[in-house]
Amino acid sequence: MTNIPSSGDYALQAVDLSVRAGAKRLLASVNYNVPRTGAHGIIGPSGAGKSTLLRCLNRLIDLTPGLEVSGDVRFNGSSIYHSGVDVDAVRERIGMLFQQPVIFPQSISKNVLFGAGRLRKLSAAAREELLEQSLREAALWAELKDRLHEPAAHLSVGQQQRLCLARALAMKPEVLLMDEPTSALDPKATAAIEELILELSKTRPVALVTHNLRQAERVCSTVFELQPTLD
Amino acid sequence: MRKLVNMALPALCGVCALLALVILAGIVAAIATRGLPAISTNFLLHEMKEAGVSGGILYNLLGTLLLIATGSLVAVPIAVALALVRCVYVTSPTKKRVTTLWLYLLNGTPSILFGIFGFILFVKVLGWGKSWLAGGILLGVMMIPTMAVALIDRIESIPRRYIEAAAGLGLSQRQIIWSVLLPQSAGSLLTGSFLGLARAAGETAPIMFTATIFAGATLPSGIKDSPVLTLPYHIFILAQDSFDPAASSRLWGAALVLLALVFGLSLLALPLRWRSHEEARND
Amino acid sequence: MLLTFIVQSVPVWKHAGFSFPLGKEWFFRTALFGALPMIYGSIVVALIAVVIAGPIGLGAALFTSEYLPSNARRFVKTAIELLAGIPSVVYGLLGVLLLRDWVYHLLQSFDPLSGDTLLTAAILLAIMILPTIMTLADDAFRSVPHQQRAAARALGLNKAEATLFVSLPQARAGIVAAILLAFGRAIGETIAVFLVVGRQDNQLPSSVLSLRPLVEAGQTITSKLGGSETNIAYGDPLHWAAMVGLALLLLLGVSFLTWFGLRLGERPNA
Repeated sequence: MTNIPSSGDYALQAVDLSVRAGAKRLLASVNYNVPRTGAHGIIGPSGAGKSTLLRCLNRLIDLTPGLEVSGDVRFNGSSIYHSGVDVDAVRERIGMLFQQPVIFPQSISKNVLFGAGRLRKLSAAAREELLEQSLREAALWAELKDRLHEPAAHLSVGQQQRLCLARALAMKPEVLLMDEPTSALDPKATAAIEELILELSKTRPVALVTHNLRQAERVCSTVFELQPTLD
Repeated sequence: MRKLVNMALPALCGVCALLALVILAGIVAAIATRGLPAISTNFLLHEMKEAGVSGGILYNLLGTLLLIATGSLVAVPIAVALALVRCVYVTSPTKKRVTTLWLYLLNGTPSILFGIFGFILFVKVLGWGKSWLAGGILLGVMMIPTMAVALIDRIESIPRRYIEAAAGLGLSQRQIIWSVLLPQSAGSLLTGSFLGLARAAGETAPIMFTATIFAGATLPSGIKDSPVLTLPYHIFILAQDSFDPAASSRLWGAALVLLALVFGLSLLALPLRWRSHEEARND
Repeated sequence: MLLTFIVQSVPVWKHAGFSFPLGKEWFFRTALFGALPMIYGSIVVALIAVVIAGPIGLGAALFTSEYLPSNARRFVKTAIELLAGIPSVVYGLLGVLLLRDWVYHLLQSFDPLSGDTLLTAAILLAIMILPTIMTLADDAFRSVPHQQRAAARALGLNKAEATLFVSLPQARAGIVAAILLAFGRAIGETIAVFLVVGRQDNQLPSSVLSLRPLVEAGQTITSKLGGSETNIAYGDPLHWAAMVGLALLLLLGVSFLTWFGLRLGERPNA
C-alpha cells in the first residue's frame, strides 16, 4: 500500500458516499470532511444513517452482509475503497469506540494490549510502557494500576468504556471514530469521557456521532448534520 | 505471515467442510446407487421370501410404520404434558433446569439400554413375549425428548405480550393454554414429531429384543407374542451373514427405502425449522 | 430404568465385587465376569472416533459459521442435520460391505485376521458423530456476540485473527460440550459397532498404549449387549446380572458424560 503524500486538509473524507441495503437507501450521496484536529460531531435524527456513515469511514461496514457501498472515502487523501487496499492496515490507523463498551473476557492489561500486543512487535518493556501510557491517556492509570490482572468484566460500565478507549489508543491511531460513546453511561461517566475527548482532540481528529445536541455543543468544534434519506 | 494465516485458515476449514460433506453425501450416494436397482413396486408390495433373497419388504415396511405410529401416539400426549408442566406450572428455575436436564439425559441414553430395559419389563416381567406394542411404547419414550424440547423452546419464545393480552382479557390459565399456547406451538409439535419419527424409524436396538423378528410374521394380532417385521432389523440381520449376492441388491434396496423414509420425515420438518431459525436470528 | 438396572445386577456385584468392572476376563460359562476389556474397547473406539472427527468437525463448523454467507450456511447446516439422521444400521451396513475391506487392505502389513477391528469401528463412529460435532460447534461459534468480532476487526485484526483470538476462545465451552456429547454418543452406539468390531472377548492388551488391539477384533460394552448373549443369559441369574451390570455401567457412564457436557455448555461465554 503506497502512501501518497497527503494533499488534502482533511484526515478523512467521504466523497459522494451512498449505501444501499437492497432497495432501501441508508445513505445518499454524502459528502463529509474530517479536519486534522478537533472534535467533529455528526448529528441527526434516529435512522438518518449516522452510524452507517461512521462505519464507512473505517470500512467496518464491510462486516455487514448485503450492503452496497458506492462513492469513496479518502484517508489522508488516498482512497480506502480502492481495490488492493489493505483494509486491516487502514483500521489499525483509525480507532473506534462503540456505543456499548465491548470488553474481551480477559484481564484489564490483556484487553488494553489486545490489538497492539498482536499487531506490533514489542519487547516486554515496551509493552508495559504502552500499557501505562494508554491507560494514562484514558485517565485510568491511577484507578487501575494495581488491578491490571483483574478481569475487565469487573469494571463499571464507565470504566469499561474508557478501557476500550485505552485499547484503541494503544494502536496510536491517527483518527478516532466514536459512535455515541456515552449513551450507555451515567452523567458522571459521560462527563469523564467528554473531558477525554476534548483533551485527545487537541492532537488528532475525533469524529463523534451523538444524538445529544448539548454534548455536541460542549465538545465539538464543528457539527455535521445528516438528514435521513428520502426514497 | 499474518496474511498467510489469513488466507490459510479459511482454506483449511473449507477443506474440512468439504470433506465432511463429501463423506456424508458419498454415503447417501453409495446406498442410492446400489439400492435403486432393487426398488420396484413388486419390491415394496410383496413380502419377504427365502430369507430376503427374493420377494419384497412389504411387511417390514408396515411393521416399521406401525411401530412409529404407535410410538407417536404414546409420545405426543406425554411430550405436550411435559412441556406444559414445565413451562406453565413449574416456576422455580432449578426445577426447570432439572426437567431440561432430565430430558437431555433421556435423549442421550443409548438405545440398547432401552432395548434391555424393555426386554426386562415387557418381555419378562409383563410376560408379553415379543410384542409390537412393547416396541411402539419404547420408541415412543425415545421420541419424547425430541418433541418436548421442540415444544418447550417454542412455548418459551412466544412473546409475552400474547399471554399478557389473554390474561388481561380475563382468561384463566387453562384457557390461555388452549387458546394461546397450544395453537402457537402446534407447528413446533409437528416439527418435533417428524424429527422424532425419523429417528425412531431407524432404530434397531430398542426393538431387537422386544418387538421384532426376522421372518415369520405378517400383521400382528393382539398384544402378547405378536412381533412384527421391521426394516432396520431386517437390514441388521442380513448384514451379519455372508450372504447370497442375489439378496445383496435387495439389502441395499431395503436400506434405501429406510433412508428414504427417514429423510422424508426429516424433510417434512424442514420448512418449520427454517422459520424458527429465522426467528432465533432476529432476536 | 436406573433402578431396574441396579436391582437386577446386584447378584453380579455380590459375586465379583470390584473385579467386575476391573476384571480382565469374561468367560460366562465358568462364571468369570470381568468387564475391563469391554470398557477398554468402548473407550478406545469412542476416543479414536472423537480424535478423528473432532478436528474435521471443528474446522468445518468454523468454516460454516465464520466464512459462509448465511444462505449457503443454512443450506449446508440443513444438509448436515439431515445426514445426521441416517440410521445406525445403515452405517453398519456400509461398514460391513465397504469399510471392512478397506481397513483390511490398509492394515495388510499387520497381518490382520479380517477387516473387523476396533479401528474399523472407530472410523465408522467417527463418520457417525461428525455431523453432531459440526452442528454443535457451529452453534457454539454463532453464539459469540457479533460485537466482539467487530471490535477486534476495528482494531485492525484480520479475519483469521478475529476468528482465532476472539471466536474460538469464547466458543470454547460450547466446543468442549460438543465433543463430550459426541463422545457419549459414540460410546452408546450399538448397531454399527456391533457389525464391524469383531466381537471378540478378552482382548485387553498388556500395555495401555499398544496399538495391537486396533488391528484386532475387540468388544465393546454395547456390542456385547447387542449380541446373542443377552438372550442366552436370561436363564442364569448370575449371568443375567452380569449383563445388566454392563448395562448399568454404560448408563452411568453416558449419563455422566451428558450431564457434564451440558454443564459446560451452560456456562456463559464471558
